[in-house]
Amino acid sequence: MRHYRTPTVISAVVALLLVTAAGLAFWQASRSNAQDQQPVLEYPQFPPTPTIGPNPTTAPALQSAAPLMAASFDDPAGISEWTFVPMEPIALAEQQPVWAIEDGRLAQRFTAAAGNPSTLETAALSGAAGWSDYRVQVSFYDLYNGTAGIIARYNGDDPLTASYYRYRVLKQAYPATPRQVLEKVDQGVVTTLAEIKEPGFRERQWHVLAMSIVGGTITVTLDGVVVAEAVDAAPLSAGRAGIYTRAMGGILFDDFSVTTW
Amino acid sequence: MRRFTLCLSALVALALIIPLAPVLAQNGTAPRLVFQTTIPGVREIKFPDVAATRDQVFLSANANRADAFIWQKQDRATSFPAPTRLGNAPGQADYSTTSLAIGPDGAIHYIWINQERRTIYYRRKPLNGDWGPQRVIYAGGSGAFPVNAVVEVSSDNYAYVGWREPDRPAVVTRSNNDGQTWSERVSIGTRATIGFPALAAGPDGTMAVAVTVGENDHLTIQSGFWDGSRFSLTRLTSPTTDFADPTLTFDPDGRLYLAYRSVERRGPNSGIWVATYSGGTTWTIGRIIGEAETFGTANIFSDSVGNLHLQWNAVVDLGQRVYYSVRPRGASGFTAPISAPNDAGVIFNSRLSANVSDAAYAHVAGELFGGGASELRYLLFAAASGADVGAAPRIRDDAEFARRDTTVTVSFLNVRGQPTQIRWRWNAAPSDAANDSNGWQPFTNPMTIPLPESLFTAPCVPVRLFTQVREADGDTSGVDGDDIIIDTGIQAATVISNPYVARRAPIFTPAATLLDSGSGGASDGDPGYTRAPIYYLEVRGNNDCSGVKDVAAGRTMTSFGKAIPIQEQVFANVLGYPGPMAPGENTLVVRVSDGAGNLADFPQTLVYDPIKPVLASSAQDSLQISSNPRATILTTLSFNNLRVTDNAYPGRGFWGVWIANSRQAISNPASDPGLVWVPLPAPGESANFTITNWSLASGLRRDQLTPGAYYVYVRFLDGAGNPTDGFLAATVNLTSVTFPTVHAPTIRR
Repeated sequence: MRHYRTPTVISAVVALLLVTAAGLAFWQASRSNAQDQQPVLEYPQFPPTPTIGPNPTTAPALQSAAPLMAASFDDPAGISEWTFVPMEPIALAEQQPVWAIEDGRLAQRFTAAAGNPSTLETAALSGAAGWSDYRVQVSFYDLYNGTAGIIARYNGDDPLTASYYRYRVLKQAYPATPRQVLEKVDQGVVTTLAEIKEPGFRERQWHVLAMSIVGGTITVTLDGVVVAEAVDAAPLSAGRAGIYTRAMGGILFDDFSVTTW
Repeated sequence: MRRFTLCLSALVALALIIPLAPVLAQNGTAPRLVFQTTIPGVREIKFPDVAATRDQVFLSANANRADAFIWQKQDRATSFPAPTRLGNAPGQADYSTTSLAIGPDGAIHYIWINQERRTIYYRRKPLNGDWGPQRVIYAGGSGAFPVNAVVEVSSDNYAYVGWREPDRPAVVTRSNNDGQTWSERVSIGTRATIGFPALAAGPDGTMAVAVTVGENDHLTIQSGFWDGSRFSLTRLTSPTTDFADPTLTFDPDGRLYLAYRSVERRGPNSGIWVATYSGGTTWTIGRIIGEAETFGTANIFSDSVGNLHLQWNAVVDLGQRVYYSVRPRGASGFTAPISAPNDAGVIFNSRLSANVSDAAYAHVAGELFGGGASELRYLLFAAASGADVGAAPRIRDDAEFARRDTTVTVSFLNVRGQPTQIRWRWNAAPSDAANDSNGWQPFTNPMTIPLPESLFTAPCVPVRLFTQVREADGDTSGVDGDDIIIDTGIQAATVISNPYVARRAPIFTPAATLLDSGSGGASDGDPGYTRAPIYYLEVRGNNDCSGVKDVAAGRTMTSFGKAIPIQEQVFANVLGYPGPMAPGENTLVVRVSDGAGNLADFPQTLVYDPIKPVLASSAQDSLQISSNPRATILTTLSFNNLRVTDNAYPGRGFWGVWIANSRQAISNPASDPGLVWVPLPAPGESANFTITNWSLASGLRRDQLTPGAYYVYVRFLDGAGNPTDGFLAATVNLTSVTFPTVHAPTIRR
């Protein structure tokens, strides 16, 4: 058996270690060019995110109500029944608002391409132009958008010259007031029918929003409570129903329905 | 042997662990949010911009669908004074945006879009100066729709402006003449871009760009450098997934970093990424933080000492927040991110800049949405500046001028850390590839730094010395600098002469009273002579950039008397010769200095001659006089057959003549106090010469100018103005006295 001197052994070991370290370093460097890496930083710890619970079961408006439309967003193919429109003039394709049906809900998903959020107002419309007196209702769950609304008697192709009734409400955390506004948009011209300074809605819980319109009488309820009423002496005649928010993402809609009585 | 095996195992384990350890450094104290505030009085803000330099921070934004504003404050101040309105920015706020950048000379460059006019405008404000006029960068006309304009300024002072039109590649143009003219627009790549192009200025005039480009139905990040005529792009990310919204920055050592975000919210590609340029088309890419809904620009910015600041916006858990992290200079990784509370609303489209004063500060500007019209939100983060090493150079203790010399003394203020080495470069930041110090040199305070001869290109040369120091462990400072004007030499004219020469300055600078005024001779003579130990000195600054400061005189180049201050760039007076003056040639050296310390010596030889010349011989016809019939008061004096000797004046022995008129004969003119003697140089070099147009009126009263005999007496002057005692005399009889007349041309209207 051959005997090695201790310094020779140490030199060999050091050389082995250096080769090993160099190999590992090379492996690390190679990995660094791939876009499949573990991040080196982590976000601060925040309180656990509440789980999005089930949409509360909502009773039909009236036992005698006749449904014109109902959307539970269980089928992604149902997206074809909707028209999504920006409600401000835009010039860039990447600013188009994006909506999607995900996990059984209709979600506002920011804007096109780079997926950036935008304060651009947007609406999801459905139904028929001939709908006149009806009740439109939707449930919404806000994660971080902060703006929700409902639309009735929407008529027109160009959002800038369209006519409709809109109720919009801000989350309580936003400082802006009034937090609730019922307005009439007649060929692009906005007239406030009612506004309520407080309160806004609470985030991360389901709310039910409904607008009933009969002739010129408009009634809005939030979670079953009447929050706004108005009578329009020169009412818009008819139009589609819809949902309103901003293209900031972070808001889910469910159980959209339109009924007559 | 067991112990050896144990050690070996430990070493192997260490070798395996070290390369895999997360590169997260925590040098210095953790970064913190100092405060955040909403700028009052402005709404409808879109895509604000921010820039910081020294201890100042600037915000730019459109507002109220009308105004292009700029705000300025001291970096730590908690509020902004009222903004300055720089132009009209009407129309939809998304498309009437602003941008600003600070040039290497401290000038602020500001651009904005007037959407209604489809025009991009530019204004510039020099450091400590006023805003210049509004210039047009691009007037697109009705078919155009310029959006997403940004400005950056290169180290060689070119303003680069990039923007895009929908569905087209971004374009760039540049200017280095205060925006008066702009180069032809050049496309950045060939594919359509989305969002803002990002520009970053590096050393030696380098300019880099990063853009979001659509390719194969995906968004990719592409980047490139200006090659003198265009940007050549390299794709950093794979066209199989989506990345967007990059920014990039150079650190003080010239390393380029690029940050961008994944459009994906989940999965291995999600999060914020930072790429480091490795040369050629190679980038080293790292995933900084992972899954979250990130949006807006991923902002990265290196401050002047090399702290690398990173800021982004993301939705994590309960909300949408501004996040900030910093990689301190010398550290291997970024600090744990911190977030700003979002109690006032949501912040979009944020931008980042950073500076270093008493600490490293990161300034963030963004749109704040709180349910109504968007507002301008400002956030200030502070971070320890990492391995704090630095030294601020001060040339000649912050003097305004330096003289032409082989070296200059540089002291250093605010020395931080333990710098052991320094490198420098004149008029550009030093780098490994280019410096004037021949690499790193030992650091001392103060130290002597060579002044290259190549700097001396004009009488006045403004230069900037850029320095960078580092510690023994390699921690390196940012680039610092100091300005000075090199006065490359004395720009002055001198006259050193006979104190009695006729051509002297009309006003003399006050000087000491002379003990020997040299009276008794003529008031003119040869400039190189003097009959008393005095001389005439005149010094005039000739646009010397630091100004001529004083003058001193000596007998040699090594010994000078007390310097006499020069006021308002002129000195003129008769001064005493320094020390005893022996008859014959005497050397005089005049030394002029300027405010920068330049010296210039002006040597002159003066002949001291106190001895009178002698009219050794003359004849009856030695002086003949004739009157001019057209103006009888003028005469011609002809000199012949005479000889003058002098101990000092060469040749014919005299410099000129001393002439006096009289209406009666004088027996001894040399001692007659009533005669008025006038010196005149004798033409030529011969003792036979003629003086024309001698006026018989010289020295006489007007009532004496009547017909009759006029007596003319002439003595001879040596170079020092000493007169002979001997004289010549001549007489002329005028039957009438007539004077020269001047006939002016008749002008008829």
